[in-house]
Amino acid sequence: MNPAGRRKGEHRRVKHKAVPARDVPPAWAGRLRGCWPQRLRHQLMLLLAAMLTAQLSVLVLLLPPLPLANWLAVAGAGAACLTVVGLYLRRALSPLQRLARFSAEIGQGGGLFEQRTGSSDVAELADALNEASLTLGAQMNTIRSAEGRTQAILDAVPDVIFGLDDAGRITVVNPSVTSIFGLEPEQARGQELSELLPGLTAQEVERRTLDGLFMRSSGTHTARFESEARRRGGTVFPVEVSLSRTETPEGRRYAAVVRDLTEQRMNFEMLNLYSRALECTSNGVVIADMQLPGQPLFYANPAFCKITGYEAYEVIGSSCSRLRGDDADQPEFEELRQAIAESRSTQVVLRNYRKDGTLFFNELSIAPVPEPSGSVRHYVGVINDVTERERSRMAIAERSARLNAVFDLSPDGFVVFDGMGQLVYCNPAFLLMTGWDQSADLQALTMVEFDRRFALLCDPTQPAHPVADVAHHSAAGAVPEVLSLVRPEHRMLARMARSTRDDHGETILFFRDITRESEVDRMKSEFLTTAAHELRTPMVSVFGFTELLLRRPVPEERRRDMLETIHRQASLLINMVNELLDLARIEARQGKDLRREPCQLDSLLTEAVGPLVMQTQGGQHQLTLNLSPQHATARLMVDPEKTNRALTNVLSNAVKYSPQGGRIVVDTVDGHVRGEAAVGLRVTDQGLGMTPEQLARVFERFYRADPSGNIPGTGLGMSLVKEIVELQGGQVELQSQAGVGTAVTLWLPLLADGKPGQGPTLSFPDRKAEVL
Amino acid sequence: MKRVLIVEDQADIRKLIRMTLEFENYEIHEASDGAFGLRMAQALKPDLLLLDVMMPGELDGLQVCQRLKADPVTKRIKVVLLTARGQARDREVGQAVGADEYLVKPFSPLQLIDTIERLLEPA
Repeated sequence: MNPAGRRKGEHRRVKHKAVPARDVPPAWAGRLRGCWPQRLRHQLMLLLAAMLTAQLSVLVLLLPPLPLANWLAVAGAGAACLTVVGLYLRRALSPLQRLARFSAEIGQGGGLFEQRTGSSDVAELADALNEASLTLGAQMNTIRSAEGRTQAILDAVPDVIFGLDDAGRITVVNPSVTSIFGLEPEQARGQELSELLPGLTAQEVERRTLDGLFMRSSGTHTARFESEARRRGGTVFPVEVSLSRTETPEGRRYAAVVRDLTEQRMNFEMLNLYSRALECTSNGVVIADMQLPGQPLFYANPAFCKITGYEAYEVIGSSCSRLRGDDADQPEFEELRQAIAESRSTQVVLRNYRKDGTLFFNELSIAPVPEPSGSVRHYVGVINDVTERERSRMAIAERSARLNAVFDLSPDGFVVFDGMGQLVYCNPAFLLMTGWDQSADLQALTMVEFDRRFALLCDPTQPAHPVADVAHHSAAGAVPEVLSLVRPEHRMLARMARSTRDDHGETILFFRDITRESEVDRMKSEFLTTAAHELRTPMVSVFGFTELLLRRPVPEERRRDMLETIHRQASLLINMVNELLDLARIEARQGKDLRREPCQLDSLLTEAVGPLVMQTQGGQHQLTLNLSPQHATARLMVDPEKTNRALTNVLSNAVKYSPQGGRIVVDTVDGHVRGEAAVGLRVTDQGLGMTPEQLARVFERFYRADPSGNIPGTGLGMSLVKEIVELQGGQVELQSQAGVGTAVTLWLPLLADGKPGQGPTLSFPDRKAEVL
Repeated sequence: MKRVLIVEDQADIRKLIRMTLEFENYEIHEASDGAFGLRMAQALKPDLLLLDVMMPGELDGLQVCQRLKADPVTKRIKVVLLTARGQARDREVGQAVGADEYLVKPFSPLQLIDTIERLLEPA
C-alpha cells in the first residue's frame, strides 16, 4: 500500500520470511491434505458395513412369520444394536469434532489441542493441527506487529491515504482525512472518492491509472496529477493526487494519496508576489554581494533604473558608487562605510547623479541580509529620489534662517507660543526688554506662567491682560495694548498678539518699545505747556500796561517806564519766538541746514567776542581773550554763523549772570571728543555760579537759573548752544560753583590738519558736571 | 480799607497789578515766591490774595492756596489764581484747591479790578 517501492519490497521480504506457507506449503499441510479424508472414508465405510450387516441379519430372522414376542425381541435387539452403534460412533467421532472446533479456533490465535482419546489417525491429525496452530500464531504475531507499524505510519502521514474498491468507493482511510477534508474516517468510509475529489469517478480513476505508469515489479499502475478537492462545507482547495491500481483476486483495488497543496501554493504565490512587488515598487531596490571585490550589484529593480537612468545591465556587476560621480566629498559616505564595517543598517541622504549627469537627492537605506550562519554576504539597498523633499527642506531651512535673522535683528520683541500654549521662541530684543535670561527655563513656559512672570515686570497699577485673552480677541488692525514696565527699568511697551489659526495654532506676541515715543510725547506736551506759560508771561505786561495806558491818564515819567517795560517784555517775546523757531528748525533738520566749512579759530572767537567787548567797555566787566598762537590758526569744520550764535549765547550768559561785574576770560584748551583731537572754547566768569541742582537743569528748555525776571532770558539759550555744538560733533562742558562763577567749554573737533593739542588743561577745582 | 496781597515771581507783573489797583482803595502787599507769600498771608491776613500758580521755589501757587484754605484762620481769604494755563483741567485743579477765582494770563487789568471788587463786595 505504501507507494514507496523500497518500503514495499522490504515489507514483502519480511512477509516472505514470516509466512512461507503461501509459496511453499509446510509439512503438516501435506499430511493433513493427504490422510485426513482417506482415513475418515475408511472408518465411515467400516461403520456403514457394520450397520448393513446388522439390518440384514434382523431381516433374515423376520422373514418367516413370527409371533409378537419375537417381533419385540427383534425390535429390542435392533434398538440395542443401534444404541451400541451410536455409542461407538459418538466415541469415534468426538475427537474429530473437537479437532474441527480447534481447527476453527486456530485462526483466532491458536493454542494447543489436548488429545485425550481417539484413534492414532486422530492423534496424528491433532499433532498436525497443533503444529499448524503454533506456526500460525507466530506468523499472526509478526503480521500484527507489521500491521501496527503500518497503522502508525498511516496515522502519522500528513497526506490522506484512501483505499478504494473497484467501484471507486472508499474502503479504508487514514486519520489525516479529518484535518484535510474535515471528515471523520468513519464518515469518509463508504463514500465515493468523487465526492471528495470532484470528477474522480471510478471510471476516471481507472482511466487515469491505466494511462499512467505501469510498475512491472509490483504489477501496479500509478498516476500522479494535481486536482481540486472539496472540503466538507464546500471549500475547494488544490491537491496533488497519486493513484495506484492493483489487480487482486477480489478484483481491482485502488489506493489514492492526496496531498494538500494549499500552503505550498500560497508559499509559491507569496514568493511570486514578493518578486512582483519588488518589480512594481517606486523605491529603487538593489542587492549587492559584499564578499566579491568591489561589492557589485547583482540585482536592481526597475524603479532603480527609472530613478538613476541606468539600465539594469549597466549597473549589475558594478558598484553602486558610480552614482556619486565626482561628488565624493560627502560625510555620508563615511557613515555608509562604517555601517557596512559593523554589519548594521543605516540611512543617509546623498547627492547622487543620474546617467545623464543631473543631480538628485538619494535617500539610501542599506541593511545587511544575514546568512543562517550569521555572516553577512548580501546587503540590500533601497533608494528613494527625495530631490523634491530636499529642495523643499532647503527652501524651508533657508526661509527659517531668513526669519530667524529677521527676528534676531529686529528691535521689536517677538515671543512665540505653540499650539499647546507653550513658549517655543523669544528673540534677543524681547530678552533685552524684559531682562530675562535665555538660559533661564523659558523653554516650554506656559502662557499662564509667562503672564505671571511678566506681571512682575509691570507697573502693578497697570496690569497686563493674560496672553490667552489678548491672543483670542486680537485681529488685524487691533489697537496695541500699552504696557508700563517698571523692571528691569522704566519702559513703555506696545504689545500685540496674533493667533495663526483659530484655537490650535501658534500664538505670536509682538512687543515694540515705545518708551522713547511716549517720552517724546510727554516732553512735547510738557514743552507746549511750558512754552505757553513762558510766552503768556511777557504778554501780561504788554497787554496789561497797554490797557492801562489806553484807559487812564498817566503822568509822563510813568508813561515812559510803562512803555519801557512793554518794550522789554515784547523784546523777550521776540527772542523767545526766534529761539524756539531756531531750536525747532535745528532739531527738525538734524543739522542738515548747517553750512559747515573750515573756519580758523581766531576769526571765530574774534567775531563772537568783538561786539561784547564794545558792549562791556567802561562797565563792570573785564573781558579778556587769551588765544594762544598755537590755536589761533587751528581750523574747525563748523557752521560759522551757528557757532557764533552759540558762543554769543554763552558770552551773554557770562555777562548777565555776573551782575556784580568781574573778569570774563575767553581762552582755548586742548582735548578730545570721542577719541578725536578737539579744541575747547572756554568762557569763565566770576558771577553768581550755580548750585548742583541748577547745573543739572541748565539744558532744560525754559529753565532759568534766575526765575525772578531780574535777569532777562528765555530759558532756551543753553538748549540752543547744546544743539549747535552737538550737531557739529562736539560737546558742552559745564563747571560751576554757586557764588564763585561758571566755566562753559564748547568742545569742537579739530580738522585733520588742525594742530593737535596737549590734552585738556582744565583745572577748575570745584563742582564739575559734564554733559555729554 | 481792604488788604490785598500779590504773590508773583515776575516783578513786571507785580508792578502792573500795583498800578492797576492804585486808584482803588486797597492796601497792597507783595511777595515774590510761594513760601514768602504764605508767611505774609498768615501774618497779614489779607482780604484777598492774587496768587501766581507757576512759581519757582518749594511752594507753587496751588500749594499755597491749599494750605490757606485748609487753615480755619486763613480760609476766609479770597484767592484769585493767576495762571498761564487755561485748560479745563487746570481750572479743575484750581477749584480742587479751593480758589475763589481763576484768571488766565494775559489778563485785562480792568477785568482784574472787576473780579476783585466782586469778590470783596459785602454779601
